[in-house]
Parts: sequence; structure tokens; C-alpha cells
Amino acid sequence: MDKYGDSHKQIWITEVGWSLADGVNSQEQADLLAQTLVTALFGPRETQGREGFFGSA
Amino acid sequence: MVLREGLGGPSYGLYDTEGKPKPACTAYQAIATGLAGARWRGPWKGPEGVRGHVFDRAGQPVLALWTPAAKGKISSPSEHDRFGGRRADHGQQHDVDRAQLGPSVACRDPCARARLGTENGRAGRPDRDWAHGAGVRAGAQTVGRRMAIGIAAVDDGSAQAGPWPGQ
Repeated sequence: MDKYGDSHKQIWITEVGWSLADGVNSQEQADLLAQTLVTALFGPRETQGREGFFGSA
Repeated sequence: MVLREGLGGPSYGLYDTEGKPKPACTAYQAIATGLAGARWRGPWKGPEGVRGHVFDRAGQPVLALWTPAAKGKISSPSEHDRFGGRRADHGQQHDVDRAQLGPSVACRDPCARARLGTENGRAGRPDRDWAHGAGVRAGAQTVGRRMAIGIAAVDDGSAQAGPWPGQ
């Protein structure tokens, strides 16, 4: 986005998820969800998806 | 948010097919509760791959930590409260499960230490661990007029408190 001059635009995170069928276990699934929430939803403003967040764990 | 396995694809969801909460549900609940209304203040990076973010919630700092360890414990500091004279939970050990953001640990002395023991002592590269979800370990709070952070150490307790970001 920086390269194409879109660094000012906000990103709407529409979906995140990690399937147990893809090799992560349930604990790792929880870890990934937690990190994503902390970083994207509550973290630095430049990484926040303030407009919306839809996750599937 | 997909609440139940199967609705968003195989093995997604916060609850399993029997309706039981998965660890992700616990993590989500802990974060939603622990960081409700919180404002991000800065990143925090510790030794042994431990890193996290510092938040301000209603004037009190809250720290969310990650560590690459599989399991561990975090103990509250054994020092007196520098400001209010209250003693912290002396030597109390808290299991830190990678599925949870809590329990919160009160650290009332900005110079106090909180020891984060690891099961296998493995230290990972921060970038790798970050990318692969090393695991949210604990939400920790400090209380003090100057809101100095008094967290955290790994294994040998060598890491000491850092200043409140930006101050």
C-alpha cells in the first residue's frame, strides 16, 4: 500500500481464521486469534481495523 | 464471528461441534474483557522472544504479553507497593496457559519483577514467534501514580521494569 500511495487508507478486516485441519492445534488457534485481536483491534492505530472486524477463529 | 465448528469450514469456530468452548473462546473472552475501552500506548519487547503491547485502560496500564514457551507460570512481585504501601501477592504463582490472556497480575512497584518461567526454556526468534502465534501469555496490570510498568522477566528474572512508553 505504501508503494502505491495507499498508506492512508484504512483496511476493513473481513475475515481471519485458522483451521484445525490446516495443522494448527486448538491452543495455537487461540494464540493466533488473541494476537490478531490485540494487534489489529486494540493495537497501534496504524494497524487497527477500526471500521469492522469479522473473525472465524 | 463463526461461533461453532463447521459453520465457517472445517475446524473453525469458538465452540466445538458439541457446543463446548474451545481455547479460542477463552482467549477471545479474556481479551474482550481485559482490553475493553483500552487505549494502545506502545509496544513492549522483552528477552527470550517475549513481546507484547502496553495499553491504558481508565488510567491504569495493562500489558499483553507473548512468549514462545509452550507453558509457563507468572508470579506476582514480592515487593512492597511503592505508592500505597500495600504488599503485592507475595510469591503467588499463576498458571499462564497459552489459551488465556489472564489472570491479571498486580504489580504495584515499578521496579518489581514478575517471573515468567518456561517449561522448556526454548527461546525463539521474535519475528518467527510473532508470525506463528507464540501465544498470548498474560495480561498484567500495574498500579502507580506515574504508571510505570513493572513487568516482566523470563527464566532467570533478569529483565526488569521499563518506563511507561513515551515518558
